Amino acid sequence: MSSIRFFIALWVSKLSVIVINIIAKGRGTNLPGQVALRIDPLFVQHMKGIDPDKAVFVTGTNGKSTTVNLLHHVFTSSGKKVCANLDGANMLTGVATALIKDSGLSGRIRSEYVVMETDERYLKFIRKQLPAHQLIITNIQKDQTQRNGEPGVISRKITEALGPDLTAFVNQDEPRSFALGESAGRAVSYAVKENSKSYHKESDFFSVTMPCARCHEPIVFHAHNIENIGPFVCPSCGYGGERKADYLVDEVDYEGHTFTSSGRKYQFNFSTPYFLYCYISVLAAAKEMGLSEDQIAHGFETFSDLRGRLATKSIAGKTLNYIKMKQENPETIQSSLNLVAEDKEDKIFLFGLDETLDYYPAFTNTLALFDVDFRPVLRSGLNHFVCMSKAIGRAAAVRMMYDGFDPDHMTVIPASYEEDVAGALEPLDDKPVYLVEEIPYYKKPKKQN
Amino acid sequence: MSLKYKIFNEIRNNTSGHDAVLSNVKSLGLPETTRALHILWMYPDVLNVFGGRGDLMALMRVSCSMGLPAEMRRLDSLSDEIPFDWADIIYFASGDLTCMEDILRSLKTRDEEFRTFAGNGKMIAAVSSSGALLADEFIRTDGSSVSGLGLLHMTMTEREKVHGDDLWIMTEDGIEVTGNQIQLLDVTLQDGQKPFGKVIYGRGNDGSGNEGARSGNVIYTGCVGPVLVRNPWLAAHLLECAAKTAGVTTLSGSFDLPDEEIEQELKSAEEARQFINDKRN
Repeated sequence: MSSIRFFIALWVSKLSVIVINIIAKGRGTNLPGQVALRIDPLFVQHMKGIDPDKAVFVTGTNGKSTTVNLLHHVFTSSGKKVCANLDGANMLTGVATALIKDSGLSGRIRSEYVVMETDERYLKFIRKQLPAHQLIITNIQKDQTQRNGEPGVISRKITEALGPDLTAFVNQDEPRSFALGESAGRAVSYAVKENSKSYHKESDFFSVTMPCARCHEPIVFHAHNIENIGPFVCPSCGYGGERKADYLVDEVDYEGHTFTSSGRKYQFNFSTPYFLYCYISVLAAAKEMGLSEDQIAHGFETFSDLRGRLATKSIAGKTLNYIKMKQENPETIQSSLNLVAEDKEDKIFLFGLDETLDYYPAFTNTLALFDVDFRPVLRSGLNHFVCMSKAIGRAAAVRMMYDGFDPDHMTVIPASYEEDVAGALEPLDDKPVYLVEEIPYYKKPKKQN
Repeated sequence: MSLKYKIFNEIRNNTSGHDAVLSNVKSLGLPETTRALHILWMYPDVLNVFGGRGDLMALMRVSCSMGLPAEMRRLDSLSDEIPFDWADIIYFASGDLTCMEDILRSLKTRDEEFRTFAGNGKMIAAVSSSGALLADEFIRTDGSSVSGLGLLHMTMTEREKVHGDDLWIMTEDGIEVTGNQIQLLDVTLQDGQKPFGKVIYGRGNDGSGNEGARSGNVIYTGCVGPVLVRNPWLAAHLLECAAKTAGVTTLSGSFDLPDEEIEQELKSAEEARQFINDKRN
């Protein structure tokens, strides 16, 4: 009976793939999986030909998509066939959809390897049906509070999915995710050595770090390679300082686009440190799963990710530099602010924090504002700042005033439609313009009159 | 810029390191020997979610605006001695629930002193999940329970799902407060325990219309934002209550917070109320 149900689920969902391809090509990253799981709730478990030793999941707050894309590329450029959810549909339905598309009518997948991005909260449920033996954990940070609450909730959810059959690739520079290695059968650690783009945070009265994952005393970072990720130690219990990473980025040449690990040079097609963690985690996983260093190096050479965080646009006679952020994730906001601060000229700074719309109900979410430091932008040279939001524009302005921004050089506009932004910019001096926002305003719908 | 924002930024920029005492006494033109209101910031690195440090910034910045001499210290390690004799306000900003047991293990060795401190009318405030520290007990989803300091007679029960939304309340003292609520713990007040306020919009403690808890100057609220940044009039109220117990007063003798000092915050609160009203309609 269960096999009949499985085949009905498989064939109906395959039919749905064909229909979606006809009526809305490029869509349908979840729907076929939804259909299949509705008919057979254990559909993923019933798929054939998946070798758990050749299956790897990627989870964590930031960097999942880039890591999955890079890992997929490294395997495929080595001639391996890989089934992956590259579109980021990372719930059980998205995983099921990727498997449906990769399988024949018998339900056997065609690929040798499975690489899946998995949502932190649903990892346990996905792994129950597809017991991958490898898991890359990128980092665990504050994000999506309405859904995740506090980072401790995420740690606990991931821990529930770990077990003795699993090798966890853990970020030794990130205190919360590194601790999860203790709950896995085997932990392989990766890290990035302090380098030319690492920085030290000012130890002022209001500076804060985070609690140790073991004893809950304060963590001390020796340096930040990216925000809240870098070599750290807990002075109270020694957590973080006791071992050398299994895979380490030793040296980075940002201008030459290379990094070195264990004496070998690899190409690195980016200029921001954030991506180094994707590369070193992929190096670790691919090598542990049997790829040679030459194969991995070849994959790194030929990888390019076009989904950048930076873009430019001309508006009101000024060149606007747009930097994308995740507005509920203080670490990406801080990285964006630090990027703005790299320009030491006087500038116009636009900040587009808006109400949170991800889940019902939308709310005036201002929680991340005091987890970040706006002073690097101010100190780098500021001519004017603009806060853009009907719901929380003033709240963002207040936050900046706490960091010394002068309200005499402030504009608050109720929205980030192009005409609003142009109107705000027009009377201002001709200075470089930086916009930090979640959704590029030029992709938003036009204002309705 | 508001003169008092300038004072806040000056003293912040001139105070480096975690061992320092942040003080506005000199900046207010007062002699260094002036008795200031003493604010103790509990475990800043450990109780560090939802931008909780903003509450401490707000207490100092509002003190500057009121002309109230204030000094602030950090207590960084769970093993540090708590200076009960020094403090007038002990403030627990919002923290991750996973830390509460370790913190309580440390605090409970001093529970008599906490009782005496509260009994003397001094202020203890806790926000969001950190309210578990002041509660009778909190119960985890696995059924295990941990007893708190018992300064507020409430039981907090971990929720399976996070509740996240706006929160708009009216406190028992008639102060309107808007902010966010990211609730991991349902709150049940025991018989006789007064709430901190009544819910105008949002969930509050458990959906019954009550929000937070208050006994004298021991206060818990689930409102974050940070709550004192978004509602400087609430910060002013807390400072006034604590200052009166400590016998500290402002330069003018009045605890009023001038509207021109909080112009942006008043507009921000109006934005939030408008957003909530639009959502309700």
